[in-house]
Amino acid sequence: MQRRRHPNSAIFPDELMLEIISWLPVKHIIQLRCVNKFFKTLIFDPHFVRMHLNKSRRNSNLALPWYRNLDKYDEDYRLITLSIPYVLGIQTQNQYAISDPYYRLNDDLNDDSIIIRKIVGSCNGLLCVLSISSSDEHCLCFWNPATRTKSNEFMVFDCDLNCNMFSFGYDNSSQTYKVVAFCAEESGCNKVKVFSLGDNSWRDLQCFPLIPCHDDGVHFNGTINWLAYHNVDNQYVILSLDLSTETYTHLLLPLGLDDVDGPMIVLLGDRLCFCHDFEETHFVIWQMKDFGVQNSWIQLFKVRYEKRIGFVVRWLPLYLSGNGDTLIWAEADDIYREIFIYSCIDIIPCMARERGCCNGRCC
Amino acid sequence: MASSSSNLISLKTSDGTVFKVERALAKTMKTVQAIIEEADANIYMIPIHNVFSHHMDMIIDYYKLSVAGKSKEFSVEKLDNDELKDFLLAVHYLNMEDLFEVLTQAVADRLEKKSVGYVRKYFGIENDFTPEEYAAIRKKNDWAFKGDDIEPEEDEEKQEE
Repeated sequence: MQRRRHPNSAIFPDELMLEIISWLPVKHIIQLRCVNKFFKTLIFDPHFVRMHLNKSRRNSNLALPWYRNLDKYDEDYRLITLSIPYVLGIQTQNQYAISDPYYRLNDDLNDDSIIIRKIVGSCNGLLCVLSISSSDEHCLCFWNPATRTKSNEFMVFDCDLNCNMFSFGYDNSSQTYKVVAFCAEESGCNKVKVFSLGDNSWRDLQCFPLIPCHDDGVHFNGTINWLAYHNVDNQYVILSLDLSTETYTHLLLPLGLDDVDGPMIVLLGDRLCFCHDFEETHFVIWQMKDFGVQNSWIQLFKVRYEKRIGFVVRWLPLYLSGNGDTLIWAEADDIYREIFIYSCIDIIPCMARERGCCNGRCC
Repeated sequence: MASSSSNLISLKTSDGTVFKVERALAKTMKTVQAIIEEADANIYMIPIHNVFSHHMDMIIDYYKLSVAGKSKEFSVEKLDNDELKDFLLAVHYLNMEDLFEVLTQAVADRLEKKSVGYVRKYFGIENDFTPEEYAAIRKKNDWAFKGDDIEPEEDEEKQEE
């Protein structure tokens, strides 16, 4: 790269300059594409991208679907992002969180078809988004909110199959992003298929040994994990798919759990967590410190919540801080949808502006 | 005289000053550690090029703070941009992981939200775009220049000296 030496100014080797630049937020790095030709192509250099990713794990964002009142015809769905430091900085109760307009995925409302977008999952800051049109067409696309780039939409395979479960993950060994789809055929057969970004085609996978309880698999370190009920053992287990070997294993939940209500698994604080309701007064979060080791489950939180009479509350933990003392979760019943911040000292509710849906992700 | 059983290692900076440092501190400098390990006989004095005594003073400060668990208290605020750059180059030469990370972050903090022109000047980089190419890349990424706290772009002509 061409340099002109300023007097009294130290010149850094390129590698050292990259070590500095990789600390900067993406938006600024995109501005710096205008510095010179070397900087222009920096964001496409895999080595630099990896360097930046490793450093930016400390800056997370929440990605949430947002929609207006469904009664009207001019509703639209959007995906918005909220930076976590921003959300954590909200000190006053019932304050609205406002999302940056540059990091939203808006729909082109050119035609009359309404598109519902759902976030399938997030890996390394890349989101996989499922769109369902009013004519029930399912499409997937990939969205990088930080660089504001979105892939083309591609149809999910053959719509004779009723596909309602998608999960998104990253295979470390082959360095590819993969989408796993579960389809329940009307005849009662089930199929599992996998799509690799790069191959751009769907392949069949071994069928699930157990049927997952919930839609979304949780991606963790090259595996996708679902909660499943083991009919023989009469207990919940975690069904884990290794993305590189494409084989399944079962992981056990904490010992001594009685019947649990509203069980789910999420990724919090870079570990797989198991959450459930306790007597409709608390929700409990367990964390598996060592993947696959049953003894390593510890109870992280037991949070009291206010149950509104007559409403079924659904809640979803979204983010756990690095030091483990601050939790962000979304709570929804049929009327209210709110995001809560819980720290070991206090609980502070704040509302996502104009009400976000309870299917958010941390990305 | 330094011997292998001594806990102190002698380091000689470019400006001729000799520092006797604890072996544990020398271990954090991978470059120095490599020299020690390669030497067949006991090393009497290790010269560290590109490192000046004022750099060593700060390195020792950082080491003392980190041993006491107070590495967050280490600050380079009082250094101007050139002094910080020199210090980073010295630490880079010595290959000291933790302090290197602290300093690259410190430089990044100083660059954050600064304009394209400022960053060019800071790194001594020439603009190799033609005016048309620059206009095109600027327009394409225009969205990144909008938002809060963006410093105004420096006038291109002014900063081409």
